[in-house]
Amino acid sequence: MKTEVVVIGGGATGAGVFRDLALRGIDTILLEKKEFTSGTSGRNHGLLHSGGRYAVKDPDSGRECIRENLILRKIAAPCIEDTSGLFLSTPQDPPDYPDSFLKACEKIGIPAEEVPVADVLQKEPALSTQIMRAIQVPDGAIDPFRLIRANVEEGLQLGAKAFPHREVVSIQTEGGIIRGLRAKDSRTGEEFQVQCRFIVNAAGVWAGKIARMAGARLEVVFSKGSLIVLNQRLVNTVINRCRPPSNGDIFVPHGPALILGTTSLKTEEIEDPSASEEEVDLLLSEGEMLIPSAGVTRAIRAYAGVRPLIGARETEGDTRTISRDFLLLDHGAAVGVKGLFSIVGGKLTTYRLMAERTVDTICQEMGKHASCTTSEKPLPFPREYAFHDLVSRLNRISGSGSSSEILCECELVTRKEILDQVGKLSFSTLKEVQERTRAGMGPCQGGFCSPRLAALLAETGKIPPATSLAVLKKFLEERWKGTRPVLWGPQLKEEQLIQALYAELFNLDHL
Amino acid sequence: MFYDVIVIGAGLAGLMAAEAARGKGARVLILARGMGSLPLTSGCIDGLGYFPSSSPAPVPSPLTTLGQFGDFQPRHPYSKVGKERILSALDRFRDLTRSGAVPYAGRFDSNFLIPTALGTYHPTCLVPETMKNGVLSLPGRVLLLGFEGLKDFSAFLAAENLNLLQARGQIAPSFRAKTLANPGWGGKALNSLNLAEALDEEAFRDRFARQVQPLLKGGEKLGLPAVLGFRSSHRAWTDLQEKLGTEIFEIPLPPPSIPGIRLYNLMRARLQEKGVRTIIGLSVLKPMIEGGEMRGLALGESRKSPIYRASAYVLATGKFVGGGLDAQRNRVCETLFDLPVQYPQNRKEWFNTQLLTPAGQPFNSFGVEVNEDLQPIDPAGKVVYRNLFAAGGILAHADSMAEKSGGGVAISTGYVAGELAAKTK
Repeated sequence: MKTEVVVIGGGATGAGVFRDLALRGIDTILLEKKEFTSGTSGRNHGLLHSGGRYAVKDPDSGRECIRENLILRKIAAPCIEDTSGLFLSTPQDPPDYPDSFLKACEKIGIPAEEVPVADVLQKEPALSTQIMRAIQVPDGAIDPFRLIRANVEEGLQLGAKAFPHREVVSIQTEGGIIRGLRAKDSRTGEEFQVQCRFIVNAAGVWAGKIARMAGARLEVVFSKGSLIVLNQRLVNTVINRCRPPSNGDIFVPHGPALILGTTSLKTEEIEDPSASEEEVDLLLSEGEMLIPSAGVTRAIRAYAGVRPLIGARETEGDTRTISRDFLLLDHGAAVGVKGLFSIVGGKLTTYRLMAERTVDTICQEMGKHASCTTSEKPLPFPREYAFHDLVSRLNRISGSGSSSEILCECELVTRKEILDQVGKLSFSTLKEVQERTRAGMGPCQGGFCSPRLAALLAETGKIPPATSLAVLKKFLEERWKGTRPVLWGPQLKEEQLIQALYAELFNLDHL
Repeated sequence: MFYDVIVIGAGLAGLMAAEAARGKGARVLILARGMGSLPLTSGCIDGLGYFPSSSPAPVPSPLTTLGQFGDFQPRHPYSKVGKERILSALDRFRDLTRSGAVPYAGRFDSNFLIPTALGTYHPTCLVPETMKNGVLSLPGRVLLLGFEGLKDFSAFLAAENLNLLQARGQIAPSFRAKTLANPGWGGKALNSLNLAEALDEEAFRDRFARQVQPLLKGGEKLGLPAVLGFRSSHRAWTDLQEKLGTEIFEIPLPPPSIPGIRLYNLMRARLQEKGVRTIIGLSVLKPMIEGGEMRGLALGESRKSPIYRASAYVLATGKFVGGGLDAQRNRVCETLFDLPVQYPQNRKEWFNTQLLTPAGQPFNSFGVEVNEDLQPIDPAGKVVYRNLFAAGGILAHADSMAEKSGGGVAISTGYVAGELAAKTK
C-alpha cells in the first residue's frame, strides 16, 4: 500500500486527524490496533467540557475547551445532549473557591453564572441540601462512540481508508526521513507494508512506543481514571464539585444512566486498565457529598481509562498537576525524524482542534494550501439517529405495528437494527455490535442478549460458528471486569443470575 | 391462625419442606415473596455434576461420589444431610412428580448429559420425561427445530456446537438444524410462554405436526426448545411423538423456564390438594422472637399487622437472587433474621477474577451455617433458635452452580428440614 499520510490510532484524535486530512484532499490511511474507540477515547465520562474544570489551574486548557465546546455543538449536535452543567460547593470545600472559579471563567470566556441554590434544588431534587453555592456552565454529554465513528465515516466517504485490527510493528526511516511502516493484522497475523511520507502518531497511551519505533523520543505519563455507571439518571444536569480537581467530583447523565467519575492515579498498566474496589468505594463516598442517593443507587459497572499526559515523568502519585493541554511534536524539528508528528494529551472535547493543528502543520510541511473546514462542516450522522432515548424507542417500536423482535430488552434494540449494523461490519465482535447499537449497554450489561448476539453473528456468517462460544465467553469475561468492582446489592443479584445462566445452565464454566 | 410448620420461601427447597412436613401430618403454611427460583432453573434436578467442582470431567454417579464427599467437604449441606436422607428425599420427589402431569426420569446414582440451548452439555440426574430422549449418550441423528422469533434458541448455533462435541467424541448423536418461520397462530407475540400454551392444544399440535413432518428425515429424532406444553406437557409430548412417529425431546431455555414453571405448578397444586395454605406476595415479614425461639411472623410493621404463628419454621429464602441474602459494599446479611452469615470481610475475596471458572464464585457459597439437623448456628456452634431450620440456597458452603448440585441440595435439605420441623413441638 502507498499513501501520503498514515494516521496511527483510531481514537478521537486519530479519527479527527483522518477526517481533516481527507477533507483537505490529502491521501491518508488510518490504522487502529484494536477497534475504533477501544482505547481512552471510549473509556471516559463522555463529557462535553465547558472548560470550567480547568479554569482556575489550567486556563489554556479551559480556553480551548469552551471554544471547542461551541464548535462541537454545531458540527456534532446529534451526538451531544445539552444538559448544561453545575459547579456545586459543599461545606467541605474551600469557601473561596467559587469566587476564584467565577473570576477565572470570566477571564477566559466561559459563560459561568451563579444561580440560587434553592432553584437548583428544585430542578434537581436528588442533590444534597448541604450545597452552599451553585454556578452554571455550558457542560454537556457527548457520545464518543458515535462521534468517532462519524469522523471515520466521513473520511471513508471521501475515499480515505481506515483499518481496525492493524497494529504497527515497525517504522522505516531513510536518512532521518519517514519512508513507511509495517503493520500486522492482529487477527490473522499477516504483515503488510505501507509506503508514506508522513506519519501522525495519535496512538494515545501507546504514543511513546510508536515514537520509539521511529527512533524518536516521547515521554508519556499514564494516569488512570476510574468511573462508575449508575443505573438511574438521578440528575439531568452535569454535576461538578466546585473545588480543585479531585476524586469523585463529577456526574454526567448519559441516556438512562449516570456516570460518576473520576480518579487520577499514576499507572503503568495501559493495555487493560480496570477500576479497583478501593477506587469504587472512594468515588461513591465522594459522590454522596453531591448526590446522597448515589451510594445506594444500583451501580451496574465500573471501568477505567488511561490518560496519556505529557509532562514530567517524575510526578508521583496524583497526576492532576500535569496540564491536560495537548502537545503537537514535530519530530523532524526535535530529533531529526522528518515526517513524524506526535499529537498527544488533550481531551475528547478538544480532539478537533488537535486534529486541525496537526493537519495545518502537515500542510505547511507539504507546501500545500488548504484551509481547515472542520469547525464549520457538520459531521455526517445517520438521518434517524438521536441520543438513545428509551421513551421514544418504545413509542417507535410499539407504534410500528410490526412485531419487531427486541433482542436487547434493557435498551430496546431490535433484531432488525442489529442486523442492519452487523451488515456493515467487516469483522465482528460483540463489543463492536454493542457500541454501534447500544445493545447490551443497559442494567444487565449484555448478560441476557449476548448469546442472542453471538448466535446472530454466527447465523449471518460474521463469525465462524466454531468460535461462537469463545466470542461469547470473551465478551462475558470483559463484562465481568466492569461488574465485579460493583458487586453488592442489586448487581450482586444480577451476577448470581448470570452464574445461574452461564455456569449452572450452560455449563460454560466447565466447557 | 396457628400452624405446626411455617415455611418461608416457595422455591424448590421450600416446596419440598412443605411436602415433607405435610407428609408427617403437620399443618403447614407457606409464606413467600414471589414464585421462588424454579422459573429461573432448567427444571432438571442436578445431583452432583462435578466433584470437586474444579475437576474437568463430570462425575458418572453422584451417589458413588458422595462416598468421598464428607471427608473433603464436611460443611457442605450434602455432608450434613447424609446419603440415606438424600436418597429418600430424591425418591420422594420422583414419586410425587409421577403422581402429577410432569413425571421425572433418572436416579441419583447416575448422571445424564443433556444438551443446552447453546449447544453445550449439562450433567444432571433427574429430568422431566420430555427431556430424556435428548440424553447425549444415545447415538442417532437429531433434527433441532427452532422458531423464528424465539430469541433464546438458535437451532443453528446449538447444532453447530453440539456437532463440534460429537466430532471430539464427547457425545454420541449428530445434529441438523431447521428454523420454523411461521408456526401459524396469528398475531400473538412469539415467546416460550405463548408457544407452550399453544402446544397444550391438540388442534395446534395437529397443525404443528403437519408443518414439521416434511422436515424430518427417516430415523431422525426431533429436538425442540422446552415449550412443549404448559399445563399438559407430558400429554403434548406423547401425542406429538405419536403424530410424528419419532422420539422427541426438549432442551431447557434461559428464564422464564417453562419446565421450571411446570414443576412449580405441579408442586403447588399437590400441596394445595393436601390442604397446605400458601400466601405469595409478602414482602415485609417481621420475626417475633422470645426466649430463644421463634414465636411468630408479623406481616408488616404496625401493631395491627396479622401474625402467623407455628411450632417450627423453615427458612428457605434462597441466596441473593431469591432475596435470602443481601449485600452492601462491605457487608453480607441474611435478610429475615439477620442470622450469622459466612463471608470474607474483604470484597475482593467475594469473587474470582475470572467469571466462568470451574472453581466457581465464592459469593455463591455464602450463606447460613447449620448443624446436622439444619438448624442455623452461630460461630460458636450454638443453635440460634430452637425451632428454626434452614434449607436450600440459603445454606453456606455449596457452590451449587459450579458443582451442579442445586436441585439435589434443595430437595434433600428441604425434605429433611420439613420433617424435622414437623417433629418439633
